[in-house]
Amino acid sequence: MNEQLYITFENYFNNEMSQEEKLEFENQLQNDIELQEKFELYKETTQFLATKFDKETIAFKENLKSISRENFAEKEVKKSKVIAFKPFYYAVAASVVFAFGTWFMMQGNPEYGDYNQHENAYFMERSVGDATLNEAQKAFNDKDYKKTVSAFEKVQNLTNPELQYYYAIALIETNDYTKAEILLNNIKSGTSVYKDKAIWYLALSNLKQNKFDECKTYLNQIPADAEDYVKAQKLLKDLD
Amino acid sequence: MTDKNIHPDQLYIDGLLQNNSSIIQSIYKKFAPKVKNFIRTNSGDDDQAQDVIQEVLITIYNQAKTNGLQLSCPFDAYFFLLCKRRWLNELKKLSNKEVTLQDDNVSIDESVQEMTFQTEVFDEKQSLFDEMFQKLGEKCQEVLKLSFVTKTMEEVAEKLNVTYGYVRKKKSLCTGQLTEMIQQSNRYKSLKY
Repeated sequence: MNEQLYITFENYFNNEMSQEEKLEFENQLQNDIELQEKFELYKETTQFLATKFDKETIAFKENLKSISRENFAEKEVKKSKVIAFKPFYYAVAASVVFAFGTWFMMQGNPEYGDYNQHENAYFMERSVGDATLNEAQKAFNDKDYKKTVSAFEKVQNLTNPELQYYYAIALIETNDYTKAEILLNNIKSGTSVYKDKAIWYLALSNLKQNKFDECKTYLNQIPADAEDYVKAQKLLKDLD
Repeated sequence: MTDKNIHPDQLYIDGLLQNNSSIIQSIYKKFAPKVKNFIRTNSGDDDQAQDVIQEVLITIYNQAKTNGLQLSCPFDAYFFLLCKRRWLNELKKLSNKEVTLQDDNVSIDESVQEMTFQTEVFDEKQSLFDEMFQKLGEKCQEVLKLSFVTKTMEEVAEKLNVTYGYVRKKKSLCTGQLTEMIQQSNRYKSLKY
């Protein structure tokens, strides 16, 4: 491998060459087709890596995934209702009136389970090497919330709002609402990007406990430019 | 290409690039049903349609972000053709059987074909880069990843507990190694000619 060549490319891209060196390199580049090709590929590879690891790209993929899921899930919900109804109708004919009552009540209230599609955690990119955090992230993305909670319990200094946010979601999943809501309220009163998301999860925590009025109060606090605004409005409508 | 040639549907490309949820939503509402229908009538199901649509949108995003993407034809036709061709490739992979297609036989506009071709070439390259990146050594992968997610190379050095000079050198060499692996692959050769 021509090590010096790649170091030269990198220096060129980062503008770390003297004027002389730069001119000489550009001159060389013009007269050497093979070098040109190597240089172009190096440039392209760098661009490729920049896109691949860009935070925006990761955020886009997550957002796309959840929008995609929402769009395809709508249809499935409708389908499963129809299927579920038939056997039920034939089998429990005797207690139709009673059962219908409960069935409609259940249909009427939106459930936490309709909304618990959490985005994946990626906090490890910023703190490589911490095994506990690594474990927490992996467990969270694997949806093993018990394990996530016990990993977070081992973290010494939980002041980072991003970490608090994922910890709180895992706590809601494991029904530890009090602790979750303390963390979420803490994020909510801060200024991080997780501020509005914290309100959304405060609403979901209350939804899971069937505290519908509290849930609505939080939903109404989500500003119109928040990522979860549309979902919040839909949930509000369903709750009424 | 001059600005005059940009189709007004560029707004969908820009919306994807900006991760604009309402535009992504509208792509799903307006353009996904046609794709879903096509895949369903051609031996596929909803899950497969969901994957195809998602992959195509990610490719468009990547192309727009990496090289810039100026749409010169309607988004609908471009997006549908990309999805359709991706699904046909999928089907070919799934079975060696001859695939019978319900085709509309409508001739495709030249600019749509050109846009689709560009995106497919980009996608092929992207997947080659990805494949080769996975083949790099673990240390190289880590250094490269960190040097792109971290603001400065000084911070990268600090995180890895090495000197700035070392990280800089390592980054150049790892990128260089990656380019060599790409250059030597057969896939790259077939892409170029």
